[in-house]
Amino acid sequence: MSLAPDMSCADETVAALLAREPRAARVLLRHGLHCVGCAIAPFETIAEICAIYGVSLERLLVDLRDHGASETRETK
Amino acid sequence: MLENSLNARVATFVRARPARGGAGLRRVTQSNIQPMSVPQEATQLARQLVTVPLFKNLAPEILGPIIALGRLTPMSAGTFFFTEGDDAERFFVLTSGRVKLTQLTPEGHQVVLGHIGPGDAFGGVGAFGDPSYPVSAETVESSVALAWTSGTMQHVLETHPTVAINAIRFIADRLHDLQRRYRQLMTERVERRVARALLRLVRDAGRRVDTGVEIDFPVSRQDIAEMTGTTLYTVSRLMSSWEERGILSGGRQHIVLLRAHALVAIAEDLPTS
Repeated sequence: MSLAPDMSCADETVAALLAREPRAARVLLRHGLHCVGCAIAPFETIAEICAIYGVSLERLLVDLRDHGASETRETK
Repeated sequence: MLENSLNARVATFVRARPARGGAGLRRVTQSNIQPMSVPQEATQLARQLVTVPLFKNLAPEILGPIIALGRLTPMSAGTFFFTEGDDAERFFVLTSGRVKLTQLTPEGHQVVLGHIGPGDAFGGVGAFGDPSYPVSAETVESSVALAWTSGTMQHVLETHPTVAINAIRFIADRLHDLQRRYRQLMTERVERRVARALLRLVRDAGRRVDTGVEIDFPVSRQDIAEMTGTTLYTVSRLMSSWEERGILSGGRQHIVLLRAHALVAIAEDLPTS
């Protein structure tokens, strides 16, 4: 039985995700998302880049969770 | 078609050569070269080769002896007529097949500079006095070329002005082609430079807005021209075309990237989705 993905980080910017959890870089790459080092990573959310590049948001979030990259972030 | 008739002609010619050293099998010589010493055969081949640009406007009686000075050189696919840096000893006209001309970058990457088809000349530098080949000539499929020594071809150029003029025309065509490609390369490079400059500005001073990502300080097109070592005119032309494509909007010194990912694709030379 698989747990539901953590939808809370869908609206997080890619740069914030990478800063919080560097291991996410590998997950993003595996989904064909070359966000690491990209100038616009601070301005796009995970949900947005999934929409732009036609990647399944749910599958990405599941992968991020499985790699311990989606712990609920601290509130700023 | 030239290619077919030439192929048939050359194939017959190669097959018709008597085997040397007996034993029924054609012995492969050191570099797989077939001498062209039968004038009649050469004259026959000359009839086919009059359509080759280098031999345009030459009567078969004149072309025959020139052909006879050459040697047919069959090569299998994926082999080299010569490699970059070799002594430029021979000059070739491809009679069948396809050859790619390549160079290696200092990092070891192969760059394809062009393709040679039937009727095209290649390896001509030696005839004009250069000591070594600037490129490699690799067969893409099994190919046959007529080869002359550079000295022979130099003599042909000196004694037959028609061939020399044809050679100049051939070189001029290549130069035009290179100029066209050079221009493309230059404009492409400027496009990438400007895209990168905009992304640098976004990285330093980007701000998320409803429509996209805004560069949060006034940037003029002149500023961008100076950042990228190009002209105001070029920047204006590029930005206008990007505005038309909906990649950005550039009001008075106020740039918003509407489709930032499209700009990343330009900057990084990625395939556009």
